[in-house]
Amino acid sequence: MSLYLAELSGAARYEFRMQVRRPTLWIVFAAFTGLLILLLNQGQSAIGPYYTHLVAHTTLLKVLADWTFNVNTFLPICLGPLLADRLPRDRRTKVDELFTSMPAPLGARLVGKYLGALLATLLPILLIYAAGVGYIASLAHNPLAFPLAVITFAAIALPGMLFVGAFSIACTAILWTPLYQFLFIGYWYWNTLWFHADIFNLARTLLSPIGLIIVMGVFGLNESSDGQHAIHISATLLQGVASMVTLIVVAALVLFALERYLHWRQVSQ
Amino acid sequence: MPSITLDRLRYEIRLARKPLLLAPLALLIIVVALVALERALGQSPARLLLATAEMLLPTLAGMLVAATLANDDALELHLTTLRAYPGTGALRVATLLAWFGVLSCLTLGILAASGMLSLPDFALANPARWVVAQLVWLAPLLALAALGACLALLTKSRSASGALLGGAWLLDLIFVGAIAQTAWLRPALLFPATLVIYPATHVSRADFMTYWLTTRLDLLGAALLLFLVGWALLHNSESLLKGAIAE
Repeated sequence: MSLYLAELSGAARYEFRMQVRRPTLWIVFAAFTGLLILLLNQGQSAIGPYYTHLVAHTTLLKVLADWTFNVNTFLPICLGPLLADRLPRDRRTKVDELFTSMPAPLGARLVGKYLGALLATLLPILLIYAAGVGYIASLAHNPLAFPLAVITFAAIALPGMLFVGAFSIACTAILWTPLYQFLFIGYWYWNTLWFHADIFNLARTLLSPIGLIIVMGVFGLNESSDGQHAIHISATLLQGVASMVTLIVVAALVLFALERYLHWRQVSQ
Repeated sequence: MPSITLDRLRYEIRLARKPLLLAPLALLIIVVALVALERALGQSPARLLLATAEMLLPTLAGMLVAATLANDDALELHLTTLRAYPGTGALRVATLLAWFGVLSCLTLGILAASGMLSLPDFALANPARWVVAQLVWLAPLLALAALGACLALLTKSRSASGALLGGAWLLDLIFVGAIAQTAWLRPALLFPATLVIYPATHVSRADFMTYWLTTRLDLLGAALLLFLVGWALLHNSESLLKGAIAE
């Protein structure tokens, strides 16, 4: 693979520019975040008082871990569907066969597409995340919030985003894009129901893309003991790290399987 | 003339195999698997089947309406023909809605026939109860289809309209408590039969009117308004070409 780094970075740069310049990327995140803020500020659990209370009663790292967990619970809802059309686009614009004739191998192009499109889609998420971190830093009067926020994002959100990104790129090789989008939002809703003890849920296992095991195991957050939910879940540091590794390894395996599948399809044409 | 219309309808149905057959089939497989799981765990599948009619089928229909209107490979060619594109778009949406209406009605019928459809005590004596019960799926189906159509025509993108519709759907589920408790947000309550007043057997008349019947009528009104906006947007068909290039 090291021989094809130039091809990989070229594909990544091109996919990044293509995705980041789509007006719909920014419109979707702006509209969704507006709606989310509106709903978060209804009822008794308004976001402002919630974080004011949290900053006053717990450590800065835990507050940031909580914010990252919230971002990771809601914003991948847009990430998945927005990445879902990247692979079918090559087929729709009929450039996939043209790519086959080029010296760049399929694997390098796929990884480049994945990294470029994912990074571009992460940009609006990072901006929203940074705005929240700025708010928390102002509440805590502590600029250390920014470097700590980089750590919490990399540990809690990034493995889940890599996981979601890999499936969103790969699944549309066999599934029709609108159908994948529907299945994805259904899957994500299931993930958010982790506190219902009577529903089996992958979000309570190492394969938790919302980062539940990581926030509990690595950052010591305990959603259940805060009295918010009746269910009692706990995780150790080892389980938290194992969850991170599992999500990243599964994402890599999904991309590998996609490369093998596309190669097989190419050969059998 | 009627035979031409019928031929066209037959052609559109043949063209829409994926949304009309593949998508409901995928949903059916998931629902059957979940019903089997609930049976194995000794739980009643009543709420899941109600959710299928009220939540899943209308949402799938909304996403398919958005996907159908946002992209058409032969749009450029179509714009040169005598038959205007808005008519074709409307025919495609109507076909989808009719098919998903039949599927939702069937799901509700299965629930009622197996005695799992919970209706309020005071509604049981009403002879029109079965007609009113159809609002369970009709209101969200029309509202989500109309919203999907507007989002697709505004964003001109299949992935953006899918993301926005899916996001709105998910937020409506996650924040259902806040939406139900806030009077001005209540008309946006999409799925009260499954999420707010379930099981409806012993729900009071006041709660039934506030959370269910009134919100169903509000949704129908909103759907009508959104369909009118969508119809107006559909007349700007040339702008859809821009979306096909930008994606």
